[in-house]
Amino acid sequence: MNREEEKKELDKLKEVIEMLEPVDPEKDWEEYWSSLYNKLERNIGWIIFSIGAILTLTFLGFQLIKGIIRDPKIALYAKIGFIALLFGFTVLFISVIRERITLSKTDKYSKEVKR
Amino acid sequence: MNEAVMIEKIKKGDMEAYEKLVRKYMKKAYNVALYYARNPTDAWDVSQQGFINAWKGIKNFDTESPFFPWLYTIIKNEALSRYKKEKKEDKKKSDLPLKIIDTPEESLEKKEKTKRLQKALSKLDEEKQEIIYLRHYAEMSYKEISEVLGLPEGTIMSRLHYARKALLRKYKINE
Repeated sequence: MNREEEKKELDKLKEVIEMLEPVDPEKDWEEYWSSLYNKLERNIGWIIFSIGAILTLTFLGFQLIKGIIRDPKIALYAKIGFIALLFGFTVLFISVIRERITLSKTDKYSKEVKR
Repeated sequence: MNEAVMIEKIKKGDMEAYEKLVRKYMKKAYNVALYYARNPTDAWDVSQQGFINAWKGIKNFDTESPFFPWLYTIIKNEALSRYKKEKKEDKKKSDLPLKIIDTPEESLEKKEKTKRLQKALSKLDEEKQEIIYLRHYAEMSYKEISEVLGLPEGTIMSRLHYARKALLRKYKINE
């Protein structure tokens, strides 16, 4: 390749490189932060809601168990049955949550394909 | 504001500092996501989810390290986890989205050239496509690319050189 051809080659390469520009989204860049902020806010909201729900349900569960145990009108077998029901539900709930957490950590392709 | 100071503030829950960081990297993040998602709508969502995941995990981030290579890894993982293995193959085959030229002011010649470039880029192997995309679309520095790909800067430079040459060859074939 002589100097002239080399120069042409370099000019062409420069032309191609100049065409490689970052792409802008279809939406406006100004929307980016506002929609991201909304998603972040929703995430924080869910975390607070979940903590609140766990604390409230735990409190109500204990109150319910206490109320049933202390109620002399309720038969002993009904008390045992109810406590077993509640205990079983808690075990199942924890087991499902633990399985979901383990799965989300190990399964790389668990989410659905978005179209 | 220094990036390390900004990240320290974010660790303490400062949303304004996070907004500054997001605005600084959103274009790069979007273009990284675009490479893996190959679709503008998905790239928007994937890059935003990347920022959400980064915000959730920022407490474990080493303030002394550069932020963008870390964000890049999060975005890449997010994109890969969205597409099942077989679908990922389809994604690789689809054209890389380039700057949309649809204004009447843009010449027909320029539009043709862009189409030709897109065709040429799609014919490159994945390694060359990735390095060109990271350098020219995500506008990452050699240092950042070397960190995310785990290769020395010199290797990045030479790989980019060969990738550009290969791109030019493919581009000229379509001329």
